Amino acid sequence: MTAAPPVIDAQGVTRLYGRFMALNEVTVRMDGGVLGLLGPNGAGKSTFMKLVTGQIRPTSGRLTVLGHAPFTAPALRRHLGVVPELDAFYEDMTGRQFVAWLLRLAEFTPADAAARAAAALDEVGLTPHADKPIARYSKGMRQKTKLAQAVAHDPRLLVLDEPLTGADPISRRDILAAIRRRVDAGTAVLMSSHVLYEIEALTRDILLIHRGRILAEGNIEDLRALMDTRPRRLFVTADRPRELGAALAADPAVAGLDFRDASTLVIHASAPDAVYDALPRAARALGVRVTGLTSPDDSLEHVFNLLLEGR
Amino acid sequence: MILSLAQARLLATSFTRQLAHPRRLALPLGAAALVAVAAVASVTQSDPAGADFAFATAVRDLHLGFLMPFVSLFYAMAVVGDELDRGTLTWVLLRPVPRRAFLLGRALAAWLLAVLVQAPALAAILVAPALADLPIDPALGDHVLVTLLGTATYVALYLLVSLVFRRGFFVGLVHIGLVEFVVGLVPGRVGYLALRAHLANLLGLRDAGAANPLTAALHSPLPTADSLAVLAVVGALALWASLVLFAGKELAAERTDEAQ
Repeated sequence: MTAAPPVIDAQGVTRLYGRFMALNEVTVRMDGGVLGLLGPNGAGKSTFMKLVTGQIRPTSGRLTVLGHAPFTAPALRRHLGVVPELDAFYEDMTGRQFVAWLLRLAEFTPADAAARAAAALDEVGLTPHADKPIARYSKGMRQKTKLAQAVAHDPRLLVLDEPLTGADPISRRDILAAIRRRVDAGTAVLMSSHVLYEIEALTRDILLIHRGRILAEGNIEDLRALMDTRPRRLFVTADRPRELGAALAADPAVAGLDFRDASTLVIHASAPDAVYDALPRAARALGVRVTGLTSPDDSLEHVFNLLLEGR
Repeated sequence: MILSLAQARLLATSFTRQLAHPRRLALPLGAAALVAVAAVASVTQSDPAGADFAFATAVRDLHLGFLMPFVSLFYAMAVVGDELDRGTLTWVLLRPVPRRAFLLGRALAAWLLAVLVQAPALAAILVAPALADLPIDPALGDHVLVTLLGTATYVALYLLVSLVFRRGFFVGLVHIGLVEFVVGLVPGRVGYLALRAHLANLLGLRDAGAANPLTAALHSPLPTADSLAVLAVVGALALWASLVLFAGKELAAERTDEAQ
């Protein structure tokens, strides 16, 4: 018996758009589970998704999905469920009609297509709106419709290109729950996002992509650890920021202090974790009321900059 | 891989419903009505000889030179061009639908609808001469066949245009205006650069104005078999090229933000 082919096997895949290199020598292997594709806008995530789903071809390199070259194997699409980046629908169709119609195109009988469409719409929490025209759907409902059509035929691989974009908190919860159920049932998932916590909600395995290159791959905890050990700016909004700053100045984890405005203290933390511990202690001791704590360096862009610095 | 019967029926039904939408029917049916009125008006001339000439002109210039290419362009753009621009084609092609069969099926539906939309004009062209007691050219009976062939050639040609050019509809309009209408008016061999000249030749209308001294001087008849061959070859080549192009076309490549 031969071993099952990898779900995704990309070997040195490069993709050019004219003279613009969207992907550069990308090598990825995915055997199952959930793989999060993380990167800022324009990093090459959607290009990789489009390659995997056979919407475009690699300029060079070798790519197989479930053992097939995606662009030239229409039969592979029976096993793929895709939430594409696009937001174009047949607006006069209802969600139910849309999902059932796409199932019929995949050669399900009318009765089977209707039953599967109903089940998929229920799975994503869209049943109450299933018979309304898509033109009247909110962004979150449109995202749910995309997910419903992607899961309705029980694919082996789900390719989700930013599936939470524009979704409201309740829709996000429904969408993530539906994806998790599929993962638990054994469906492989490749999901892209430019928001770290969206990926964290589903998987620990990530692939960081930036300017068309794979910057890092591995466990999300490693990424968090890296973020926590690197210097970071913390913006603390408080009623008496100067007193708070004076109390923290002696802390070895604080590399420097300045003030952005009358109520905002900027802490340059050499060990952010230690500052996160020291800050509430100092505030409590002084009776200072802290109303906000943010870090511009928590962004994914900052993580990429850190990784690039380390290269 | 071929399209299954169920897939073909589903695609044909949805595409026909899409094409038969009142918004999509209004413009081509309006153009057809205009040609029908022109054909009837042309035979109401008091001078029978003049009426004959005016009628031939109405048929040649308005039906063959304007209506037929226009409705063909209109529906050929709907085969993939419109959906390519909107992005909705991606949904269909992410399913196990063979591309060539998909394109061929939709092109066939577009051709049928383009022919049907010409029906009012065609009916007027066939009936008007009899109403005015005009001697009908025997070739007029072939008008239906010429409409079927001509529309097929134009649909195939504009389908190719829609796949090659981003603004295919505009390119098609320029072709109709400059080549089919203007060049098609030029007497002699140059006029045969326009497909409608071959269609007119098949109907025996190409030299309807030969009484005009200039036209008579440039008179250069082409065997109808040659015109038939030109139309068939242009149509077949355009369709073949469209199938090849569409099979290899990357539907998402032009829209990605990463490419900008």
